[in-house]
Amino acid sequence: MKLTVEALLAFDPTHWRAAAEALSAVARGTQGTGGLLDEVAVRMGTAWSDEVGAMIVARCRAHAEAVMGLAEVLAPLADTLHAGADAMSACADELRALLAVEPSAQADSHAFTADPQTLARADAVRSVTASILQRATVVDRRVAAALTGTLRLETPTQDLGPLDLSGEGLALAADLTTQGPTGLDAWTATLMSLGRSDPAAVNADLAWDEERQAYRVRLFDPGTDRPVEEIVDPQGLPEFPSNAMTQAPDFVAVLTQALRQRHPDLDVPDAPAAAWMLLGVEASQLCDDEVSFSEILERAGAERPDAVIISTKSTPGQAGEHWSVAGVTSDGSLVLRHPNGPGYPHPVRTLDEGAYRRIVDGVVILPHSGGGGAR
Amino acid sequence: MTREVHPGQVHALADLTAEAAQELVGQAGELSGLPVGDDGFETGAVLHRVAEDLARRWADQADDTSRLADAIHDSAAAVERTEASNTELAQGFLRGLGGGA
Repeated sequence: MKLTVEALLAFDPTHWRAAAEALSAVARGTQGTGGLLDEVAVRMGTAWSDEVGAMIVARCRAHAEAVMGLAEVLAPLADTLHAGADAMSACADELRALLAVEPSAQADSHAFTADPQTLARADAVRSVTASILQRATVVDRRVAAALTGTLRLETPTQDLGPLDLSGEGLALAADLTTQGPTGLDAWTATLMSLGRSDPAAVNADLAWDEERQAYRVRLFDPGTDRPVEEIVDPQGLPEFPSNAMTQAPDFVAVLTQALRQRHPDLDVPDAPAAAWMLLGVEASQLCDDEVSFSEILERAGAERPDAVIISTKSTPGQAGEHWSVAGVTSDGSLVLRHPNGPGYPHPVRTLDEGAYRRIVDGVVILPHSGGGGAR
Repeated sequence: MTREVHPGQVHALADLTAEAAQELVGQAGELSGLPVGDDGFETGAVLHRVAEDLARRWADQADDTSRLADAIHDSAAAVERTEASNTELAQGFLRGLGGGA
């Protein structure tokens, strides 16, 4: 379960610490019980010293060891809870500190404004808030996993697999992902746009296989022009490209791993190439050079926005770049995110019609998978 | 036939074993009452299962230890009552544990 601002602020470490203290107290008591049984074994050797007595002694000793073994289980559980309480409290304190200077961090909606500075600030606040919540969620999951792992309890089946592949989860991952050192900015920008605007399209490509405990990824193979399936082992995922804040793999990491398994050296030069590999949409179906600015505004600002990727012209000393359209401002500019992601200089910018005409080299619009064809 | 056994001491040690079993029962109760909280965290939900699992483990161990105490008592009583062979005593002890002869 993904934590909310409210849940994290309400986190009370005394619950986990009280459980840890209770476990430690039981551990001490159980060690005492084990000691008592060990004493019985020693004294039994004197009270009954033939071979039958030796058998009873052996049984008493086995029980003493079994009870000591029980007690040993509890210490790591208590340590896990104490460490988890520390880590979760640190996340909660960080969030409180952020709210003290930026109350908007508690807001559910983040309306885009025209002012680039305000936009950048709101974006930073949103990213930091999301990062804190994601780290807290990871802490919670790791504590829970450590508890179940120590006791070898079976983990309940999760329909969504280890990664949150819901629409909300994909949108959050899209905002925090990076291209990392792969250089695949067209690929990553396309996934960012799809993750934010069309989670169904991502879900069509990426699913968790409970039986295999791995991801099944569908890609369209440029070598064969047919869809192929790759199995991605979650244990083998690289750290990058990934969530820029937690360094944890995300859906982009899974799909990139599948791409690399299939084609270790293949470049994805532009968004049409990415659209083909992800959706099977042919480049000829993409009208990427005849889209008006107003149409992009309309499609990107719709209640169900389409996935839009913009490529910029090369300039001397600067190669063209690929940007994911993240929304529109109130005064009619586009909000763009770069796959370098949060933490890098200028990961977000606005683009008005004048700048659009000057710097944009191509546009790819991928309508919702539920309706219409690609443009 | 003189045995190298002091039944009175053995009964006393069986009582100590039964005492250990009772301690384990009490600890199982403490574990089932572990403060787990209900705060929307995954850890809280897991703690419920952890508490149940631990309490079951302690209760199982308490049952085993209680059977051990009874088997020790029975063996000491058998020594007091009859001239059973060591083989018969050993078989009786193992039966008392539930492990067969």
